[in-house]
Amino acid sequence: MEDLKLLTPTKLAVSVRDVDIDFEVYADRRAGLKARLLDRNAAGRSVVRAIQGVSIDVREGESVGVIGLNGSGKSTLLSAIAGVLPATKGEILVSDEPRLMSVGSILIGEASGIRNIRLGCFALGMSKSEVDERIDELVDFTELGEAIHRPLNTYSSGMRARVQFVTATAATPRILLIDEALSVGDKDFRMKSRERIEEIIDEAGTLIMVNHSLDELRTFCSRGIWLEGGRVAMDGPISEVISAYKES
Amino acid sequence: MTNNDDLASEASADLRSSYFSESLRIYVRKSWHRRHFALAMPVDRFRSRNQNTVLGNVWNVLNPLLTASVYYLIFGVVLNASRGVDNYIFWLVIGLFVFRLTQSTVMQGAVSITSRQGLVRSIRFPRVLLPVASTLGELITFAFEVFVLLVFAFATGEGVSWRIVLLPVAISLHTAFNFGCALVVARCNDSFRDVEKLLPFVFQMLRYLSGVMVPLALLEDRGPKILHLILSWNPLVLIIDIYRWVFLGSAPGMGWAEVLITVMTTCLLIIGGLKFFTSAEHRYGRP
Repeated sequence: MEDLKLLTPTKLAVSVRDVDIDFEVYADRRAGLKARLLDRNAAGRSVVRAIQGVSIDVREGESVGVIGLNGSGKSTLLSAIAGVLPATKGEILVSDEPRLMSVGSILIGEASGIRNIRLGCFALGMSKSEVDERIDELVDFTELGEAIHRPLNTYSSGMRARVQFVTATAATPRILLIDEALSVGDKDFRMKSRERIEEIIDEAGTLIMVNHSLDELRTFCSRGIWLEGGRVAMDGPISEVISAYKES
Repeated sequence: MTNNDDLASEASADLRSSYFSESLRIYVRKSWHRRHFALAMPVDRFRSRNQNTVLGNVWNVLNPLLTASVYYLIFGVVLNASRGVDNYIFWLVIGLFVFRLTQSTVMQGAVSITSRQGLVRSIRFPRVLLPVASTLGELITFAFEVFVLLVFAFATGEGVSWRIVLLPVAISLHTAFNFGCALVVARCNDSFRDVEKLLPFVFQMLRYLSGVMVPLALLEDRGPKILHLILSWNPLVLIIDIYRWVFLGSAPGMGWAEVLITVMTTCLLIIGGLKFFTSAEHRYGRP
C-alpha cells in the first residue's frame, strides 16, 4: 500500500482517491436527428473533463479551503464528495454523511422557507420529533421573520443561504462542505455562521470550503488546495497556497 | 493480508463510499428511516396546490365531481348509453377515476427525479423517496375521488355493500402496481427525457385497452388476436374490475386466478422496479 501516511493518529474524514469526473454536455449547436439517433456519444455532445486524477485525504478536525479559477472543478469536487455527483473513475470515501451547502441551489422552490428546513432535515435523516423540537430554534437562527412562510423561490440568494445553512448544520455534521454559500450572506449572518462553523470544527468536524474571498478562507481554513484545470496544482498550508495562487 | 494493509485499513476503517452502494435491504431500511420526508413532501404540495384559486380546497372535491357530471351529461342524458351494463354511468366513472390514478401516478413518477434536480443535487438521500412521495401525493387526490364515488353510489341508488371493506385492499394493490410502474419510468425518464413526452400517448392507447369506457365483453370475437392477448394480460383491466366489483357487485372478468396473477405481477414489478431504479441511484441529478 502506498498509503503509509495513514499511520498518523487522526482518522480520515474524506479520502478522494484518483478521481476523474467527466461531464457529458450538450454543445450549443446540436447535431441532426439522424446523427443523434445513430451515435449517442458523438451527436451534439461533448465531454468536459471537470476533475482529473485528484487524490486528497482530509482528516477529522481539518478545515480545507479550495481555491482556483472559475471552472477549475471546485464545485464539482464538492458535489462528488457530497455523494450527489458520481465519479467517472476512482473512489471517494467518507467517514460520515457530508452536508453540502451550495450557492444558488434550491430545495423546493414552491414551498416556504420553514417547510424547506423541515423537508431538508427529514431528507438528511433527522427524526420527526427531533425536527419538531428544534424547528423554532432553527427558524430563529435564520432571522427571516415573517418571510420564513413565503415560498423559497421568492427569496434573495442571501435569504436562501440562511435557510440552507440552518438545514445543513441542524444536526451537527461531521463533514461540512460549503460551496460559496456564505459569501452571499450579509455581515451579521456571516458572523453568526462563522461561530457555528467554528463550533462544528471544534467538535472534530471537518470543513471543506470553496470561497472566492481569500480573506474568508484564511480565517476559516488551515489547509489550502489549489485546483487548476481539474487537477491539484498545490496542496499545503493555507497561507502558502494563497500566496502562490496570488502570484500566478 | 499484509501488515501494511492492516494498518491502512485501520486508519480508514470507518470510511465508506460517498454514494449509496449497499444491499436493497439496507437501502429500504434507510429509506424507511427517512420516511417523513416522503410524507411531508406531498402534504406540503397538497396544501399549496389550490392556494391561487378563489375556491381553494373546494376544488379537491369539485374537480372529480365535475368530471363525473360531464360524463353523466354526455353519456347519461345526451346519449343515454348503457352498453349493456347496469348503472353504466357509475360503472364508467369508477373506471375513469381508477385509470386516472394510474395515469397520474406514473406520469408524476416519471418526472419525480427530473423535476427535483435542485434537491437531488444538494442532498444525498435515498432517491426512491421521490417516487414514493409523488405516488402518495396522487393518493391524496384519489381520496377525494373515492369520496365522490361513494356519493355516486348513494345518488344512483346503488348503496354500499359489505364489499366496501375490501376497498382498502383494492387501493393497496392498485397503488403498489402504480408505484412499480413509477419506479421504472422514473429511471427511464432520467436517462431519456423523451419518456415523459411519450407517456400521454401510451395512456391514451391504454385507456382503450383497459376497458375504461366500453365493457370488454363487447369486444369478444372482434378485432385482431393480439388485442385480446393484451387485454387478458393487462393488470389494469383486473384492477378496474376489482373496484367495480366492490362498488357494483359484478365483474365478469374477475376470478381467483386473475387476482393471483395480478398480485404476482405487482410483486415482481415492485422488486424488479426497485432493483432497476436503485441501480442508477448515484447517477440521478448529474448534469
